Amino acid sequence: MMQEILVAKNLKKTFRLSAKQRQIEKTSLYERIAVSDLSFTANEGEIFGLLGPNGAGKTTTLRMLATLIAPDSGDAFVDGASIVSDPEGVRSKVGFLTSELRLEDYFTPNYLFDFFSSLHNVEPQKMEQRKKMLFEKFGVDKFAEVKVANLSTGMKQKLSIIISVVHDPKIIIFDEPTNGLDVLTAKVVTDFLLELKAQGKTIILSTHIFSLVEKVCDTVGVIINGKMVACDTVKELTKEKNLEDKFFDLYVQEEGASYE
Amino acid sequence: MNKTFIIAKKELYRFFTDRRLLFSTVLLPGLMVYIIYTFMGSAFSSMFGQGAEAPRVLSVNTPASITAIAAEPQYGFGIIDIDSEEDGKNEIINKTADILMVFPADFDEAVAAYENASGGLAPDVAVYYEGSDTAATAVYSSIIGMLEEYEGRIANKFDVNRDNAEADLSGGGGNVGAQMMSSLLPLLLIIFLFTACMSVVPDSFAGEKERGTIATLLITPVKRSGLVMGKIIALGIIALCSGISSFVGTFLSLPNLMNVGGEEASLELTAYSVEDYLFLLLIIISTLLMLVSLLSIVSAYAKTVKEATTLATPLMIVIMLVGVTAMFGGGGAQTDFWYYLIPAYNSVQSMVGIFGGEFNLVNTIIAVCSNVVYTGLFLVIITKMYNSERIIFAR
Ligand SMILES: Nc1ncnc2c1ncn2[C@@H]1O[C@H](COP(=O)(O)OP(=O)(O)OP(=O)(O)O)[C@@H](O)[C@H]1O
Ligand SMILES: [Mg+2]
Repeated sequence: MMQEILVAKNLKKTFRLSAKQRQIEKTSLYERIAVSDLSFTANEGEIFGLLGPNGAGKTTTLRMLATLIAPDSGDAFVDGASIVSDPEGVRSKVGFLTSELRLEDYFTPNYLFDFFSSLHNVEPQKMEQRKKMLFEKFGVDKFAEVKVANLSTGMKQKLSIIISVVHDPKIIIFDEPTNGLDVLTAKVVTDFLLELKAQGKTIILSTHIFSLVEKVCDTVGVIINGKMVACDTVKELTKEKNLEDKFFDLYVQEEGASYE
Repeated sequence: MNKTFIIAKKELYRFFTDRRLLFSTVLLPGLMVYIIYTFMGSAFSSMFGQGAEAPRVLSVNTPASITAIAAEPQYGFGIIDIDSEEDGKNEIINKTADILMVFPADFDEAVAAYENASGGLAPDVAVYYEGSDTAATAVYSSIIGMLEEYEGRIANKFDVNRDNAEADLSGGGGNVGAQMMSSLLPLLLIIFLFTACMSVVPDSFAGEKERGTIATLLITPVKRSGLVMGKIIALGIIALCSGISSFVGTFLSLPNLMNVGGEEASLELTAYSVEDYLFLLLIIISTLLMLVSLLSIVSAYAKTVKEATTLATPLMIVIMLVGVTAMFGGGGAQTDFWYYLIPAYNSVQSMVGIFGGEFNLVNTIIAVCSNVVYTGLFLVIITKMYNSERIIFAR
């Protein structure tokens, strides 16, 4: 029997629109609904994909799950901890990675690993062990004492991934994990995702790349305009046609035949 | 390990391993204070060159009591008794004498007979000098100090220059004397304290926002209040190092500054007690904490370091103006306690008091305490700001 580990219930998030933005969009609305009434459940040990076009609300959803921003209404429970009433508890259980999370240029990978480990209450012994293992896996070991400012973009990205899992979280949230990476680095990342899954971790990722979903995800939720329009196992969704065609069907259903 | 402490440690590590930052925020202020004061000291002592010879102090109707106090070692003025006030004034104008005091004919008797409670006019002493003569200006301050001390000793039974008559017989003011330099110290110190904070606070708050590194911290299990406290503690320590550096610079350059105008004109500046220095340090520390937390609010609000600097400019101007008031306070510190509740102004006035040799314990303690209270208040505000995603993620 599958164990539910992440339950999102009726998440809603709106952003205030500036006067200029209202003018550009010729709208009298003061708010943009980024995510509306979004519910889904992820099971322990699976890779859950949030699939959606640009501006669908994927990043917003993941930021709420990682407690970077608070939902207007609704709640989500991460391994039992509420993102609304126990954000610190949630943060100790999840690792979050997006391109918006930067590392300070001045420090070295070695220092940052230790710093974030201590913020996550990782025992010194376990910290050394994980540092060695993760640095070797991503090839950061040779650059352990090079300041972040002097690392290549790919190396920075890899270090960010390492830092997001210093505390060996049960749940890992990745926003567009392979965006902007070359094929080699992208493969390192997808392999890492599968490896985490093999270790029994739960992964929530967002993407607009169909092939990534088909390759790694067990379950997929399709988000269009802040709403979850379909949520099922990849197997079930792709029973009749491939994911891409299925997505277009859903889009037409939701928006009318307005895509071109 | 406490999370607040981990954050503070990181900020301190960042700062103390960066040699350039260390030089510009810690070493430079002290060095600059030292150089400026030493330079000013030597510049002024050459201006006061003629002050090295004993000042010529004239007096009409010299009372015995005044001759006695003038002869005391801390003053050491030889008073020349003359008969004609007119002759005296001419000597002043011709710069053959430095000071002319005019006492009422029966000064000592009038003082003895005068009752404070009577409400009648107390015996008045007029003191004249030539304001374009820098040495005379310095001697004038010293004489006034002496008369006021005497006035204190006999419980306020006479007045000095009661009607504020033009005592400066040159008819023009605007002279830089040793007194003015003591009133320059609070201004310079408060500017150095402010710039010390400016060099570290915007980068830590607005800079972290601008570079997007703050979000990485916000997804760790650290309370936002702990994050803010950690930063403030570290910045406080860094700014303190900078403040101590300015303080040491001031301390070391004081002897150079004190040479101005020779022994006689050195005012009471040579005689600072340990207590004076202790409270000066307390004032510096509490002012720094207040400024760090105030600038943190501005920097946390700003989207970029540049914006933070721009937003802090009006504050800088206010601080400078407040510092400038120290130079026009009539030479003395405010005595009413409520002045010491006003942030920044309280620090400047306390410093004026300490440098002017009229240190007031109660007021200085009020100043220190109110600075601590303001710091607490600002901390509450900035923690509130850190809980607002609209502020923390503003782009
Ligand atoms: N801070 C904000 N202020 C105003 N509007 C915002 C803000 N953040 C997101 N939005 C809007 O909310 C909507 C959803 O954005 P979101 O970033 O979640 O989309 P996404 O699915 O991640 O898109 P992409 O695939 O392009 O990354 C968009 O219309 C976006 O413009
Ligand atoms: Mg996105």
